[in-house]
Amino acid sequence: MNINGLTEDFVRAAAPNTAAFANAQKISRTGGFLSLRRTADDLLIFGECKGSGKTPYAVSVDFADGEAVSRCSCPSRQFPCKHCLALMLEYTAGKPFAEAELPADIAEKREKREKRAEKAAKPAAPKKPNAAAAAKKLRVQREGLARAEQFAEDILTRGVTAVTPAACAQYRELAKQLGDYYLPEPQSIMYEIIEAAAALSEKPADSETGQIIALCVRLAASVRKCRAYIEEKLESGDVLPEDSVLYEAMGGVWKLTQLQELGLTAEHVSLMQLSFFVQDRPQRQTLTDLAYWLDLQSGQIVCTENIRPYKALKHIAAQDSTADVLEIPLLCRYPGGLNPRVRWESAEQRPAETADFRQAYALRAKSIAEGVKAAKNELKNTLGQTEAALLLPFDAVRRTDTGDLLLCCGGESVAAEMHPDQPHAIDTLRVLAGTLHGGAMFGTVCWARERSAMVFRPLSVLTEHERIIL
Amino acid sequence: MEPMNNPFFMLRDRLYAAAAAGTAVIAEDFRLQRAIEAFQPLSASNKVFARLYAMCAGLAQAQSPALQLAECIALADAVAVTQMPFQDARDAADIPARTMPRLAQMPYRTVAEAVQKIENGQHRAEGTEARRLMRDPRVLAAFLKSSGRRGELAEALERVAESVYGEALIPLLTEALNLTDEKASGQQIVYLRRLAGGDQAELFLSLAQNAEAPAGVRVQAIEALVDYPEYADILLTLWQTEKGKVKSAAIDSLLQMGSPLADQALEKQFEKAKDSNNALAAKGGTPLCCAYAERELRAALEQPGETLIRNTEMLANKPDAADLFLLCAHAAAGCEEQYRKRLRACLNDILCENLCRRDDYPYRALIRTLYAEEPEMFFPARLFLAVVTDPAQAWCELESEAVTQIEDTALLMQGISRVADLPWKLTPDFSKTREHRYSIEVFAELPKALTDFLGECCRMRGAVSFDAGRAFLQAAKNLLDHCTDGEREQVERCVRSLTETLLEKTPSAEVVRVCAAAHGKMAGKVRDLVLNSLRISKYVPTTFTFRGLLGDTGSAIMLADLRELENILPQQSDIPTELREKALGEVRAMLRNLNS
Repeated sequence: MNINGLTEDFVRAAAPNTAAFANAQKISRTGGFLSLRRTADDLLIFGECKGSGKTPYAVSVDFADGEAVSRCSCPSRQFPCKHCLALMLEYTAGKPFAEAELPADIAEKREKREKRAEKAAKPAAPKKPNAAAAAKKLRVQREGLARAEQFAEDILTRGVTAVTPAACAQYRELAKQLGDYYLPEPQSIMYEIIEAAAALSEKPADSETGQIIALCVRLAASVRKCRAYIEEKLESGDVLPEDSVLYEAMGGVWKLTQLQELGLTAEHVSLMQLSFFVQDRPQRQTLTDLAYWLDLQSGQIVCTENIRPYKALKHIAAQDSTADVLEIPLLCRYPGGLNPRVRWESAEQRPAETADFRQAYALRAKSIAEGVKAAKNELKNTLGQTEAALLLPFDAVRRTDTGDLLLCCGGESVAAEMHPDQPHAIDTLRVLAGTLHGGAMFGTVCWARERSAMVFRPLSVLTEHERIIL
Repeated sequence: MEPMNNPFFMLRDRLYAAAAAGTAVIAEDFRLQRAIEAFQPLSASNKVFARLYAMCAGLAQAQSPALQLAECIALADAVAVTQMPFQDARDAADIPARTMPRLAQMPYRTVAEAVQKIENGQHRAEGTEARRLMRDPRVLAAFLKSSGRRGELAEALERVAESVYGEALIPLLTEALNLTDEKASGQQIVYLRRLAGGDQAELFLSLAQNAEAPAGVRVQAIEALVDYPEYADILLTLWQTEKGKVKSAAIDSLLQMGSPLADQALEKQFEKAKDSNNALAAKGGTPLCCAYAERELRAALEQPGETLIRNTEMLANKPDAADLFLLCAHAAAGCEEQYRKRLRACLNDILCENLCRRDDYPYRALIRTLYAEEPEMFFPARLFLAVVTDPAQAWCELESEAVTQIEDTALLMQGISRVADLPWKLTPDFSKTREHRYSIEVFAELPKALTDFLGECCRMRGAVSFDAGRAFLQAAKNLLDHCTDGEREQVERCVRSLTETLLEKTPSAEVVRVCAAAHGKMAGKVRDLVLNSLRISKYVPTTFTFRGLLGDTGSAIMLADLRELENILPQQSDIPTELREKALGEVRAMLRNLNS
């Protein structure tokens, strides 16, 4: 690619967030650039942009490697920064860029980048895992688990409705200490419990207390299983991470190389996105770009998570949905249940074709009952997913006299409810219901405790010809 | 297994209750004990139940009852999930089949942003992109949910939806009515009324009479029945049998309809004077309302005061009330200035409001009659009528009064800006709605009508208050902000003329800025600003003002104007010396800034 491939859509997609793009537009609109230049080979645009200080920023976008490399002397840690985005917008707006020689500093940077790429291309010597360090970490974690268990025990002894503000303060201190024990996941659960308990109303509803109790139960079960897991590993001497959900249950973060070493991979995978939305978790102070994908070969529904802590929102690019099919040479799968998390290093995108929709449609569950059975197998695990993503068949969407929607197939029907992270999806289904004449519906099945029933939360519709995101 | 009364589910509920209360008191939890005992027979049926029973039975004696309780709940939950039914056996009806145009699927971020803005009433629907976005069912769903809003942005969105979906919108709107949410506002009915008109009478009727529907929805449906006098008897029944907002909406609609049944309903009530009766009498022009209004006004006229001011509200919706208006006008003549202004404002407000009815011709005649009798008193309403009916001629027609009553004109402009709070870019279709006072048939042909009107305002003679100047300037800014490229030249020409006049009469830095925005000639503007400010408002522009205008004039023009001021200021003998010297000081300070 070179500068002639620059379009406003490209710049918008390159922006780490909408605010950065809006700021870049403002800079371009108000004539922020003091100079605009390009090299004769159309591989570099550069210029000087007014900043808040006296000295203007040196901004450049370099296509020497076939992709846009943005450089700017501003102090922002966003990448690309608003000045680089603005420079690209200046170009797409057709403003005149004077031809100029390649600046010496850019030439130097290009050379360094080439050398780095050469070094990266050389196969690295395999890193020998440090078993002693791994064992030490396990022992420390075992100590920390005892504290987490003490916390769960204390809450359940006292009663979730009797947690005082003073107790919350002490618990927060305890949760903070867990950070010293390499247990970020139990620590997060503890914080969730503490904040939920602190926010309980004077006469809390069963649903409020039920949620906290479920978290305590999860924490206690997690502690018990993780402790057994650690004991077993220390006894056997096999201390390195393995294919087990308990590694993440303790807060471990998998590297792609680890997953590859464990053989948790699949080659030449085609994924079709079934749903995309952003989950907001204020208790964890994170936004997560969550996408569900259908593996067109195996029929498994997997998910990707792009976790963006509130504090780092400016620095981590937000993802967006895609209508394309991804062709992935090497897909890494995290240990998990029905809908494991996946990651990949590279993928090619191609527009979805009718054959893809037909194939995806054919991978739906044979009946609602079959789908729900698979969901129950996952949901019954205390440390399993709290909702199971499925592709259910349907003949029609019907409406009760109270306005609720039912997904019907054969003689079976399941209530369709609002998904808490995608509240508008059910409204969209209402709008489209009269146009749907059967197909497959993607969504999550979960257990509605208060209603004592399994419910389905629709997220998209799939037919042999198209996918409609709700 | 039936969840509710099964020993397993009852045990599970008690386990949760024990966790909520705390295991410190578990030994005394006799309800839990009973649930465990009731579960015992089931425990023989399978190993999992047996294990659960054993764990529960040993709770009180466990080393850690809390941790054991957690295990019990975990096991109970796992069993519950496997036992939980999914089949929903409720009766359900097929949803009527419909066809829709080809849908689009936009990226998530684009849709999320659009949906949020639609929900906040801030989405600006422009161009082909708007139509593409509206084809995404998520955007359509958001639009349907929030349809019925007022405002130019909302109506622009409606036009886009109509152009994409046409009549298919009507059944979608009726389905979007949320009859299960108590707080539902039923605002979709407002839009449905505009869109579908007479075809939905039966729907409105059924919603109005549906005791299960949310009050908000019923109120909107009742208001929609104003257009159907044949349902007056049903409205009367609703007034007689319902309570609260629904009852009030029923009588309001009857009054607006002008139905004799309204008089029948209110006859007894109106025997006594009450504030609530006044509010009702204001809503209609039935014989009873007119008689009540006349009675109360005449009583208040005996001693004009706050009661008279309040009672003028009852003159609304009465096209034959010219006599009462004139009585009030005559009463005002003998009152002190402040009271007279207030009464004048009230009377004219009502006359202008009347023009927002669907059938406003009787009210136009009323205004003309009143103006003929008392031109000074009823000039604002007459001007408003002129602007509404023929804006291009409005100024010419009323010039002789308007130029001396510039404050009324300015108030009109302010009223339009304030009440409508909208840009001036309105299309004729906007006049389908009558909710906005001033905002509709005013300047139906934009921007030509407004630019013509403002152009005539440029010929204003005599002093102008700064409030009036600000009102005109705001109108000019609105025009500049919202005209299309094709209209820009005409608009800028008008605004340049206006700013020349305003710089003479109500000089301010803002006038200079607006002139610059309209690509006016900036040479001499700073000079005129300083001299006119000193002469008219006795205000000394400071270096702060000059710095703020530097972006608009450029350094060269600023320098030239300031140098000229430095030379001519000492000779302006009509300006008090103290002011001249202060101004000179500021000019010189700015010159030093520029030269450095």
